Amino acid sequence: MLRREGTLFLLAGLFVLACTAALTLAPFARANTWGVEPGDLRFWLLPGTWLACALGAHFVARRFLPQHDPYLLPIAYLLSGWGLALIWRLAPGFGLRQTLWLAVATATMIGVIGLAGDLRWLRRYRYTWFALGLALTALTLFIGVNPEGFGAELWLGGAFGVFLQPAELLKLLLVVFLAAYLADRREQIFPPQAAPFPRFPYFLPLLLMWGFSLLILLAQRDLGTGTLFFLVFLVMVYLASGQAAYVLVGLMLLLLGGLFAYAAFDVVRVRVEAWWDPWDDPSGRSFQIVQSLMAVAEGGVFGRGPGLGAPGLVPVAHSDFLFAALAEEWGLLGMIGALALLGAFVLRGLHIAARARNAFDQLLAAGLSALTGLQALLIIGGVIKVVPLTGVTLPFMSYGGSSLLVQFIMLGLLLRLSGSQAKRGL
Amino acid sequence: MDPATVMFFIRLTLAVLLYGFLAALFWLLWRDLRAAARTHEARTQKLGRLVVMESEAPDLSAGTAFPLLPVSSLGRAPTNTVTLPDEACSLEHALLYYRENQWWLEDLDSRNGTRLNHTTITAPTPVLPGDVIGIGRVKLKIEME
Repeated sequence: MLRREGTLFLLAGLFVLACTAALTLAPFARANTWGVEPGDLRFWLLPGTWLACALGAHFVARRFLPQHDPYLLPIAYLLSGWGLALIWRLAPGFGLRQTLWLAVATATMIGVIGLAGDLRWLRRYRYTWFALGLALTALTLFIGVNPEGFGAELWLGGAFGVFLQPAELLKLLLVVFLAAYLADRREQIFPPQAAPFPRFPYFLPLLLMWGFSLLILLAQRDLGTGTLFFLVFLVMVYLASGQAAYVLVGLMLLLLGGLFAYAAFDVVRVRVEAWWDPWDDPSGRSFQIVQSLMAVAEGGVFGRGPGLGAPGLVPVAHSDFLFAALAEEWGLLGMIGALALLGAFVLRGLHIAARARNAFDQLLAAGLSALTGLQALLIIGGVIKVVPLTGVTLPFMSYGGSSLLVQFIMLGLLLRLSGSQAKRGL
Repeated sequence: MDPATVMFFIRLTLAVLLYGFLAALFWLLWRDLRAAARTHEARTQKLGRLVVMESEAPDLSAGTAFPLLPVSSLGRAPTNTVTLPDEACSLEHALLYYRENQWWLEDLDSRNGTRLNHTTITAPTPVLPGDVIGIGRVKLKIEME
């Protein structure tokens, strides 16, 4: 089992090293002469930090969870290393910050892996955890800030230049809460005799908690995370009840909610119109999506080459539009590679869920994988104009400290769920 | 060599590494799946099968084979390892288990009794190759691989 992880880590490490070499070479290749200045070489922090983090995670996971899934860690680290190389190339300042965040995220994940006991504490205090997440998110309504100085104020803090986005944490806590509640109450909520309707008294706490979180996100105009919450909720209700009717009803509600939001919020109207017909106002409201489409087209099959394109033309390419930068410089081959890696991650998560010992572990693993997969689909779809743009991050790859931190906590939880299965055949 | 050529080789390396990683990933996953399928097969086939020789029940034809578990239960209830839809068969009729390198047949206090080669058994009895087990109107034999 562990030799596989080692082999995959070796390949991932060589890839990250080659990325750094490409970044070093890019200024020369752009001018096609050795006679230019090499530019800023701080990005050599990346392979060093990456290696330390990957080795640390590998050995801690091996020590504490000898039976853990051998694929998740290499996939996650390959994606983060790749994402970091892209961020360094687009915005070195953010690259430096994100490299530090990778170290913080790895340390946190190691903490999650090393915690004694099972995950019962997560299940038992579900209301406490979720209330904490809600309270933190609600706090941004009053003392929220935006690190850029303008725009939606979804962050907390600002001391020492550290900002946290509680909605990211709430995302994880929502999955935990849903898994815990549905695992305990699924027979009461969805009795077979009352097939298409859930029993309301038991369904109510679920709706309340989820409704609160949606309200706060709506008040904050954080509609991307709101959509994500809605979809994750549907997935988990479907997993617990096994009835597709809920998903259909939910998707219709989402459509209705979208129509309502279209009428009520300017930001939604702008996004939907930019998606429906970006060429109506290509230099104004749909500037970003048009630039993104041009970046994707410019990339072609093989891409312009790392450091050789002009993905900086897309506004905030390092965070929401990282996939556009990837498409331009790495081409279709890179996009397929990234999608395959994300897909493999979700697949392994679902495999862990299928083998889990109890309903809570099952729902938690499936929920965490669904969250990662849906988030990736939402933002990739937004960037290539399949769905209206929602400002969520590309898991593991985009710039965003809280996002990376929470993604690695989720990774740690998945590893724990896979490791506690002890020795059992398929 | 000019920088553009070096860059070309680095890009080639990057593509090879990325798709090498994916190929290794999927190859290992495939090997995992195959190994799991093999252990599953080995576990179910090692012990042999129970084959129906004669049956008067419409839902059970002669030649039907049931894979055996180390402890297999026989009876009319669908919860048994070997379900025999025969009216003369009790819900939980008999037990067949592998112990000390041979199969043992035990009657579970069934209404019509369990026969081994036309003799009704009263205590756990070893089953030898070629023996015929009679339950209700069904006759069965053990086939080793």
